[in-house]
Amino acid sequence: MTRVYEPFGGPSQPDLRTKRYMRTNVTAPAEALIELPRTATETSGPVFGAADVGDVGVDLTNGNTVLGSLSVIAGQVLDEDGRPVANALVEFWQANASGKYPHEVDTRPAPQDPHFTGAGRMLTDAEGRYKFTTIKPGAYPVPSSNNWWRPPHIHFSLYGDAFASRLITQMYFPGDPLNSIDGILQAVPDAAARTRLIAQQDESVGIHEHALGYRFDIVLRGHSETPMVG
Amino acid sequence: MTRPSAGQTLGPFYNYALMGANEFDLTRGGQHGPAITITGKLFDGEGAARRDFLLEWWQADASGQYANTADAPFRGFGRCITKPDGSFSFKTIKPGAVPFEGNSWQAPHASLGIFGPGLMRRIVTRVYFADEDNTACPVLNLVPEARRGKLIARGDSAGAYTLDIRMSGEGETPFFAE
Repeated sequence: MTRVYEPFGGPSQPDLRTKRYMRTNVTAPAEALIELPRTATETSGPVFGAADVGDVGVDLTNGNTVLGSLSVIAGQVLDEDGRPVANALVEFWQANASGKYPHEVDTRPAPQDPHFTGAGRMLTDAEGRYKFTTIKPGAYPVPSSNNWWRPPHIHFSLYGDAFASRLITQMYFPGDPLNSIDGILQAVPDAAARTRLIAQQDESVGIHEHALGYRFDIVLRGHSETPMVG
Repeated sequence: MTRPSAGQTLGPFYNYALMGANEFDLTRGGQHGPAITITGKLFDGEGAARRDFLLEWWQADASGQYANTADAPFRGFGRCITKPDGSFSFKTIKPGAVPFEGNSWQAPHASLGIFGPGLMRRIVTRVYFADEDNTACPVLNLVPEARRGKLIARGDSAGAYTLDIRMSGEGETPFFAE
């Protein structure tokens, strides 16, 4: 079956240059991007197996009592036809409840939580589903930014069926007042595309009297070749 | 049909989270051709070396075939995060030529996906090799002639290649639309 990967970009993808974020004017290319036909290089891609996932797991609390609102995040990885993407590598990472990452560059004086791992990894099942347990991360200020605070968010990295279907994105939490003024979420021009980056609260995903539940579906690039009509 | 979800920057704080982020050795599953190395530095538009950029390398095997299983002898995929001095390094084998449309062939190359703090979504480029015949590559020839050399790694007799990446400005690396 021939897979089609249409040009990426447009208003449903973030602008490469934004007003606020880390001087994007020195990282975004100044020259026009060169149009590239989809060749065997782009329509093939790495395939991952259980050995790649290792023992990192899908419980970011490691069974410990962790600071923050315990939450289950679940969703489906789909292609542009709405078909499940099975065996997609999904990796996720986030700050702890204080908005602190376990990274040497995060020097803000906020506490680490030794019981929280902050990262997980899995392959989607045959229906493209993933699920993990974590806590809602805290907001944190962006250095040298005139008091811009990142809203609570979880980073997602996904590999679908091809090098062309690669996506790194962020999941936001519904109803947070910081969402509407965030320099990274708001770098996506299309309002509907921004809304799709905000998870939906879903009681059926949560655990009664234990964990909040959020649903977050992700669409990766690629669809089937449309049959010729007429 | 639903358009793909929007990309977002991976931010600066991820290096503990990604699988194999320091496994820049694509030959770790076995030696399936003469080993080569590709090293370089990544610079921004002000000429500053940049740390914590994620490079993802994807290439064919020595016969020009792309791996399509997790247990392929040579999987063709590797990751590397730039160090505080902007440097990166991959150890791999030379890929074979890859079929293009009709009877034409792409010169041996690797695709390089770049993510980084200050990059809102992935940027893609390619790496070619100076000791190969690149003159007829239909993809390389899409790049304006004066800029093609920026995609061609230069090697020595021991298979040690070098290529720097400049994200923006003077000497900018040619990047492809996805």
